[in-house]
Amino acid sequence: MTAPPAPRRDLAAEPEVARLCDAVKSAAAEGRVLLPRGGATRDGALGPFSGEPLALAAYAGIVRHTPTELVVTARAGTPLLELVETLAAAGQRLPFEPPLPAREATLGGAVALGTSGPARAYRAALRDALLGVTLIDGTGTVCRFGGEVMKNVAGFDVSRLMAGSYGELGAMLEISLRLEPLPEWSQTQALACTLPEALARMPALAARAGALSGLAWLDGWLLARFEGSAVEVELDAKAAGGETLLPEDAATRWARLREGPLSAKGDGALWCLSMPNDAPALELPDANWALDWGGARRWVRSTADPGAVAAMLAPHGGHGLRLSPSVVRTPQPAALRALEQRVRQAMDPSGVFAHGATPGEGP
Amino acid sequence: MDRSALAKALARAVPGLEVIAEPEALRPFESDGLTALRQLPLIAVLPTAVDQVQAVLRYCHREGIPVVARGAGTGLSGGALPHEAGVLLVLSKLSRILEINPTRQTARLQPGVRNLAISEAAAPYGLFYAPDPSSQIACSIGGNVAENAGGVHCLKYGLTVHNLLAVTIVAVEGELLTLGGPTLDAPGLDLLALFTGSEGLLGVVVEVTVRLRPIPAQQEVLLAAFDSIRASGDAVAAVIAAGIIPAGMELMDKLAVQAAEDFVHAGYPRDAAAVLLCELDGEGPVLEATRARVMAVLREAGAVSITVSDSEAMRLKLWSGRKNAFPAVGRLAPDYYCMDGTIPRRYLGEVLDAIAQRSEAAGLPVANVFHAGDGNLHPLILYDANAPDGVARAEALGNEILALCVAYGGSVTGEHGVGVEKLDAMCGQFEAPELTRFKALKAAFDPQGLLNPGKAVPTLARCAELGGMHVHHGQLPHPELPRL
Repeated sequence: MTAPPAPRRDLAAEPEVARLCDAVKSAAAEGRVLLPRGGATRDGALGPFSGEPLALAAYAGIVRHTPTELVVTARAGTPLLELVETLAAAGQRLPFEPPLPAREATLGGAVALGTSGPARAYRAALRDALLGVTLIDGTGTVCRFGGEVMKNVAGFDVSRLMAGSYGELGAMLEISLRLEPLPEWSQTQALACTLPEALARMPALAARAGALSGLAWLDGWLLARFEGSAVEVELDAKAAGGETLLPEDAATRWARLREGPLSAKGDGALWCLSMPNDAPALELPDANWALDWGGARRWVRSTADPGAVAAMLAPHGGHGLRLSPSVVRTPQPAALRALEQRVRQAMDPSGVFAHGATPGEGP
Repeated sequence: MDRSALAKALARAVPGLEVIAEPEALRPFESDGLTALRQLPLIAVLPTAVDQVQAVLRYCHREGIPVVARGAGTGLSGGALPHEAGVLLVLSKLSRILEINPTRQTARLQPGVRNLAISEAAAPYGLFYAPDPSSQIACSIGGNVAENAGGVHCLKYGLTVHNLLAVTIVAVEGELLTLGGPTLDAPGLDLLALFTGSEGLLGVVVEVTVRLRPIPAQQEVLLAAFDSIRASGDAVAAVIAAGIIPAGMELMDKLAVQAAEDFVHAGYPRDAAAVLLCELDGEGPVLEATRARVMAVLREAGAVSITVSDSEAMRLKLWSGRKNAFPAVGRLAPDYYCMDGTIPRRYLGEVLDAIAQRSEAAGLPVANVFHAGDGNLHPLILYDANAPDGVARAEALGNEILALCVAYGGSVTGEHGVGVEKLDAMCGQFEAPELTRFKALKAAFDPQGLLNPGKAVPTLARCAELGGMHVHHGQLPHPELPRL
């Protein structure tokens, strides 16, 4: 008989994990609230957060990267940039093109926020690439959900639930992700047009099966990015028309779209709106727009008040996050919020992670 | 409450509701695709509108009556096995395609819409729905959501969970909730991900919004023959390692190849130890380039022959052997037991060898027909249920195979679900802390445990008892439970 190659490691036996479990247990017993924290790079943009920081940045490092398997398992405190660089050296990447706000930003933080970049609309969201998460739940116990396999329907999909959970369901320890090969070729076609023209053209560009990996509108240019084999990219880029951007120029523009293309400084408020791609160009006062995800994600700086933004999104089933001057989220239905609260309690019965950084709370 | 009293009460509480209460009329609903397990429900109801579903749940919630939802009944793990004291909520009459939106590339569907009907309705717009379980002619989208169904093409295009935008559910107390929405990301917790694959334990699906994809310009299939099963498994890993994600990658071993060939004459090499089917899609020049790369990898990995489909007719013929493999293997023995474990792809060759050893030791042939590209094994254990110990021996070998998958870092189910069939196997994959969270999550949606009770998540007591099973081999706990 062959010896099992991957015996289940007992994470709770690691001194650092045992210490974290104890910290959670004693906080839960004493009624204190903890804030699982990675690189603390989003405190300014998305905070202020309450709760005592539970530092996870030191719990870092790639546990297992099997290039032939297109899977990586890394500790939650692993710097995202380090992970991205390590994967690139092996000819691979994360399929969801995560924002890389600073060197300190961690993998765990990225999963907690659940944010994905321009490739999200045509390749994968962060949650799509999540295969497994090991975490400390609200009782201070290590739990392992999912794993490193592509398909796994045993038990509820708690791993994917962690994407965008804002650290309110537990403290993540290890995260397993599906990877993709770096594309052989990447090319961006640019077309000068207005925002309504861009919205009108985008569906036709997305209607073609192929190498499309980004569709945006920025500074008066419709941008269509194609990634894959050289043959495929060339065919699709030709069909798209427009002019071909120089690689460095294209990379700069997509990096802007990935990180948030509009400056947080300036007049009015900065919003990131999510709506169906066929919603029309919306009228907001003094607005400056950028489009991503083929029109399904819209960044805007405007002097409109939150109520006006929510009212404008509602008929389209959209929602929004105001990023500056302070964080505001368009409201969610009450029944859904109540259910979410019960789900949080299921993972964290005593509310040790109930630090209130909850998305979906209204202004 | 007895059968006729409940039927009368529900008919009164929900005007116009079709209620079935005659045991003979209930017979077609006594099992799902796992026909070894049968149980008549107290009654079955067939709502034709969402508000009827709400009213049924409201009534059952108030009266504390268990509810089991059922779609087309094609599931393979007993997930839709009725409850003896409960209502079977049959959703097959909610079967309208509500909207195909080509600009959004989405379809809005009632739960009873058949999987294949989605792609058929989307085809005029140049779009298709990618997850394609082998039962796609019959299975319905509500069940696909409940099971997180897979299929041949999920290697490239993802599982059900990757192709959903929104699911509207009726919660246990009758309330209508939408998880997800018309946008690519929804605010708050990703309850859509949690709900997908929850096997009817968290709510009843009444509407689904799926993502559609543009139909590829061309498709072709490569058939590669190998002279050892190990080499074929390693070849699959080598294709992935080369950075190529084909549209599908399926493996069949010698027993399956010969059975399929005898059954449908697909043109497979009968002397091959294993046959790999690899589907590629894209425009002509893209296909040519990918084909050249895949063929080089397969030759390097030891393929003794490679056939490429040169027409749609030939592509379908080559696939016909794979698509008919289960019934073909079914002709080899009175009974077969289909397993559904997953493993990391790099261990395919090793695990297939280990399965062969265990098959020989158990004296039960095993045919392998499976989604190799995803590392999703479907060992078919051939046995005779009428032979002494036939069922027990097949089950013992099945449990050994699932334990092997877990030992290699895999899962006891890749796409068929736990249902009632793999409750014991769950005890090998999860420990008390995870099972405790699963129970708590269930209670967050359904505190009284009325929705599909006893499925998908084993009780801690069951797992504790099972710990003894491995010590006292051969003495199965819970003799009262029906077993395969």
